[in-house]
Amino acid sequence: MTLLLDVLTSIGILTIVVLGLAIVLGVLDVINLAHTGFMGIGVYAAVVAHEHGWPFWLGVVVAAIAAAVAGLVVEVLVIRRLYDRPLETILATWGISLIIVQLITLAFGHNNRAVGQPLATATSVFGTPYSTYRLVLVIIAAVLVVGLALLIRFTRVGLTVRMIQANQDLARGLGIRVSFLRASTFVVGCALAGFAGALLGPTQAINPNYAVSLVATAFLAVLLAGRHLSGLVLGCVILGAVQVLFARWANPVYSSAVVVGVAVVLLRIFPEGLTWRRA
Amino acid sequence: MAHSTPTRRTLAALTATCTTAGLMLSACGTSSPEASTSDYKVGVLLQLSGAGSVYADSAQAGTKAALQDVNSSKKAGVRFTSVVADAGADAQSATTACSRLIQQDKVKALVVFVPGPQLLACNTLAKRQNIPILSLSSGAGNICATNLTGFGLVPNQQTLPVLDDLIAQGKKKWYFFGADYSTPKTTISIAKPYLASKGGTTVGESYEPMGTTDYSQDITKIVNAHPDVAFLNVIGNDDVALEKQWAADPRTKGITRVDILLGEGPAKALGSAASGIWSSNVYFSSIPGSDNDTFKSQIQAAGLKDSPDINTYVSYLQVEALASAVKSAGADGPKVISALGKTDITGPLGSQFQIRSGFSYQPVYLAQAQADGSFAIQKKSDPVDPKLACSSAS
Amino acid sequence: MASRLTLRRGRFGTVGLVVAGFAVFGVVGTDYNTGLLTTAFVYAIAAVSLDLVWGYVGAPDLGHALWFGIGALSVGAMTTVTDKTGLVIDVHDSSWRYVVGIILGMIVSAALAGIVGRFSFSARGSAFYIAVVTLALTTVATTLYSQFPKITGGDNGLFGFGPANVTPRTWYYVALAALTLVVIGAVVLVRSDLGLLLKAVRDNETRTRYLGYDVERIKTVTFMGGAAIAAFAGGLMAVIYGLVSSDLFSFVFATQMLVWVAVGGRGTIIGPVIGAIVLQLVGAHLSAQFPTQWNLVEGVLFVLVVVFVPDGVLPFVTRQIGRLATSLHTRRGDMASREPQGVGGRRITPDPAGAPQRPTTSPVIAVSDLHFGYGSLQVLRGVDLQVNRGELLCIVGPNGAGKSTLVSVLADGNMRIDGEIRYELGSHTSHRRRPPHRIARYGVSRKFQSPQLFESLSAAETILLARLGGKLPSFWRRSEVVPVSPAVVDVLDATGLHGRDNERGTTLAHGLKQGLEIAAAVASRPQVLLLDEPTAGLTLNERAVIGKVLRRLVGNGMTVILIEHDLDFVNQIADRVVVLHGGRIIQDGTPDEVSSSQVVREAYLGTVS
Repeated sequence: MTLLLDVLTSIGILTIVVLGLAIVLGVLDVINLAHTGFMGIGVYAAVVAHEHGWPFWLGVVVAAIAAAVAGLVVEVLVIRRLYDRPLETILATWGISLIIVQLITLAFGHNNRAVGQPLATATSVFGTPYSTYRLVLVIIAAVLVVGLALLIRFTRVGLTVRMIQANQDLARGLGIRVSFLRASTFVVGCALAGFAGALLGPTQAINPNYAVSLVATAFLAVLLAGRHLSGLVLGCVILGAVQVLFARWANPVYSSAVVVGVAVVLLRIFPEGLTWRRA
Repeated sequence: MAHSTPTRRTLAALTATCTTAGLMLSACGTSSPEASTSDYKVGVLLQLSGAGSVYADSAQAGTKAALQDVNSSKKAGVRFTSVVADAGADAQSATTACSRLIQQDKVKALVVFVPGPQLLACNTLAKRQNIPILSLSSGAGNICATNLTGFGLVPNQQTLPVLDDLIAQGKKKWYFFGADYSTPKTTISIAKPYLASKGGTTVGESYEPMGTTDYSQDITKIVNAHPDVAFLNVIGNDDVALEKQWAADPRTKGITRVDILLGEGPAKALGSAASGIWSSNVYFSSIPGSDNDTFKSQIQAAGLKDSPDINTYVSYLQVEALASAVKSAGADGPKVISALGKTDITGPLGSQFQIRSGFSYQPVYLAQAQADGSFAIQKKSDPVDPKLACSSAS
Repeated sequence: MASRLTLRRGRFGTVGLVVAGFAVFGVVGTDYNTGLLTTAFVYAIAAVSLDLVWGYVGAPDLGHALWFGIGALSVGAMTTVTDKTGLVIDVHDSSWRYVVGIILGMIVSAALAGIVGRFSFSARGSAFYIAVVTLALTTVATTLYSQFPKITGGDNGLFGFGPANVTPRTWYYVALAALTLVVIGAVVLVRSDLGLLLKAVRDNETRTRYLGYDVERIKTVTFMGGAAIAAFAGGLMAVIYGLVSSDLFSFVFATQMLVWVAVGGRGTIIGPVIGAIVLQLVGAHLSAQFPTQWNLVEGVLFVLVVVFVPDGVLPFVTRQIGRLATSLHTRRGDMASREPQGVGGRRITPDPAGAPQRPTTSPVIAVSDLHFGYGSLQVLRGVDLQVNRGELLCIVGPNGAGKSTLVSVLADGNMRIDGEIRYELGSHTSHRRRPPHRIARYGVSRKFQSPQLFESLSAAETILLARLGGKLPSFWRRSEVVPVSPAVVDVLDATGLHGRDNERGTTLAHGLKQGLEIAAAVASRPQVLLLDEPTAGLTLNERAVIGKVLRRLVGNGMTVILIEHDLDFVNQIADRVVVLHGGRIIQDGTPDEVSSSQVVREAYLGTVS
């Protein structure tokens, strides 16, 4: 039972981290290496909120807003000029991540910070006590995914986004404000990064290099996802499950290598996982 | 897409770039002017960027305070000056930074706060010119060289007192969990047989690679082994993540945590999540007594906002020990090195600090974290013999 | 020619000057600066190797540090003795071990790169797959490094080795010499005819494939070469510093290499060298002055370059100097210098010795009951067709009839068809599972519907590659002249391409692009020419000339299959016409028979009007 919960919560956490990255990649063809940077902005916003005595969940909202604002600035100054040049976006966002880390260091110093410990209680799941907070993370992940699916499937916003994905020239011809929608998408992606950053704050060390170790797995999950939300969930499930199960039953040291290996082989067999790149 | 064939213009550009580079080299080729030649210049090598930069502020404050102390009390016979260099996050950056200190700034001794590979990178350069290196770590105690002095504790010095104390409290079943890195592996390989010799049992042992973010399955493993004590030996940011996740997990209640690698700063940031953690070290800011109060005010005067920690303390000791060696041996590299090997000074806590064959002898404090993340001192134990002999080729 | 010779002398003169400058600096420079440059030279070799892979065949290797690390580790492992925890306890002092270490590292790197390349480069997969694989490998390598302490030294790495009694200054000259050799070798390579092929692969893999080149093999071999050179640099680094750790394998170091190449100028060889040297020097000096701010400056600088000078600083500076020079010339009234500057400097010359083939009436292609579809959409539904040698066959039909698909299927045996296609081209008969480059080498040349040219190749260079038809070009010789058959000259003249040898294909007007495509297809001296709407966008006059050229080729025994909309043109030139409708052939006969056919009128002409 505990094992099942470990797997489930790991998948949930991975999904939360990856969602913003996946939206930016899926809709914009932008590989955002600064994703963890925006998570850092989010968590430090939550730190400031915490130090002002605000409740944790308000801090999470502040985090999303702060990351969204930073995302808007980055979009207008840099990303806007790089659409349709996917390789350049990798390089540029890597530069941006350097900048973000350094700015955070200058503003907050090297030391560890805290965002508080919300819901530090146990909930009994079929008789097994388990961390409430981790369970809540799974619920949040599920809500985000379902909400996004409904948004894409049933609203006008979803329709226009899918049109841009399919054919942006046509979309532009139909009077859709492509540049506005792109900017909004990037900002939403960054807001989700900030949101994820704050949510993970209670489980991670908070310092300027926040969340950098998450980046490799996150990218593999996103690449596996292709352009579809279902693919994203599947990618997170596979990688999360492999990671936990391998670490549980075999040598954890090799589990990260195995995760990478599994992802690489899957991508070779299903290259359409990479459909984000236009032919 | 680029012009792919070099043309005359490319060559003009090439020449222009090289000229610029040349100008830059000659412009930067001159050293900083204000230091006079009789001064004793100390190179301070630490990680100012990258994940290791967490320790930079507190270590630098210790160095600064010690330099002020050495110069104002004329402890070295000459004036000490210092140059700081960023060792970056890898051995290549450390090589660059270290060669600048040695070749460009002509430092006479190096005070370093870097992990094993970077220490080795720097030592490769330093030993050629007989420059003494005073280091916090000595790569789990197994890196040694004639010019290298380790100021921190080696694994058995730091671990054995905790084992003794907790076994005496009746906690006999231990689970050893560590980062997949040399220091934890060495520590655990020393701790296990010692535990057995004192009548305890090891109920489990496992490792995770550096950079792990999710420890849930490790915590599950540990809980399922039902130990009395979980010996958690994970490094830096990973350690903070592990302790947070441990504290948030209700199943871990009743298991005593030992974490000798948790710094005071991170513990403070952990707050209640650190509550109950046992640690051991040569310095805690909460050590009672007027000597420590004096030390703390001295550090605050040097500009550190937070309380001093082990890094501050050791970096202070390094400069003080160097000063006493320079006082007795002069500025000559080999003489300073041999004088450092016989260091015998009174540390800022009033206790004796000795260096013998490259390793330190000093009292070890046992402490337990309180609800606010601060450590309360439980016991002071006598220096432990490092029991190490140099075997490495360096 | 004279001016080209002086230019060449100038080039080697400048390189010599720069090297001499660095050699002098080795005497007058401070220990610290020469030390920095020694490292920078080694890094520059790694940058060149990455440029060959990324800048020339267009494979973004995000984990290039892996190859560097393997080279370094090979030297370390060869020369040290470790205890069971990986601590170095002794060092071998025989110097041959260093040489063997470097060579072994290069072999291991190349072999591993070969496996990775075979696995990653495929016609169907994404071009970015290699980026994912290399990134993954470098991440895994860093993790696994500490798991084999006997070989790698574990977390502390290997240290303390290195040849005794070699001064740092000697290493400076060794590194300088190694870099000079690597740069000269790389420049000769990329300026050779093979270099053209590498650029062609980067610019347009598909088109290169249909010229008869095995793109995957070219990429794999280049990748192996890049890995070997990087391993050489890594080995050199290890010998000089006597130090190996997992940092040399890390993604951070790999990113550093990407920065040198991207900032210096991808695909220029010299640019990445400058990038590596300048950034290493600037980084060392600035991070010494501003340890905490340097990363910030680095990030800002890098973003600025990527956004505003995406092709790198060297090409940018080159352009600016060129613009300055042009404006100076113009002020002096030198009108000639206003002409657009070409690339390549190769000349097309007629070569009358094109042996005509013997006309026969035997079939060259036999298609029976061919079915093909994209997913659920069935495009070809049972095509039976025989094409004879020396025949000019036109395929006509309304839009969506399957004409282009039929041509695609003929040229690519990897498309999943039902039914059978056979070739009768000497010993070559098979079609099934033959990739496009194999079929191209049978003597089947294809022109795409819309022009598919190479962004950085001139007209002459495109024709040169087409003419080689899949044979590997020389890796050191550079053809100044491109001999072509009279038929090609006719096409060039007819379409107005004469004298535009050095213009880039992609900057030509649409009609000229079409002309170049036809010329390239003809230049490969095929037995079967597949032309998909070759005359779209050409004037009546040009069409007439193209028609004549095609008739002459057919007269020499070539088989031409043409997709065409203009029925008047078809009537003028075709021997035979097939009408495709709804994925089936509904009429097959002479132009007269077809144009008088009632079925065709209803099916085809009805649709058109």
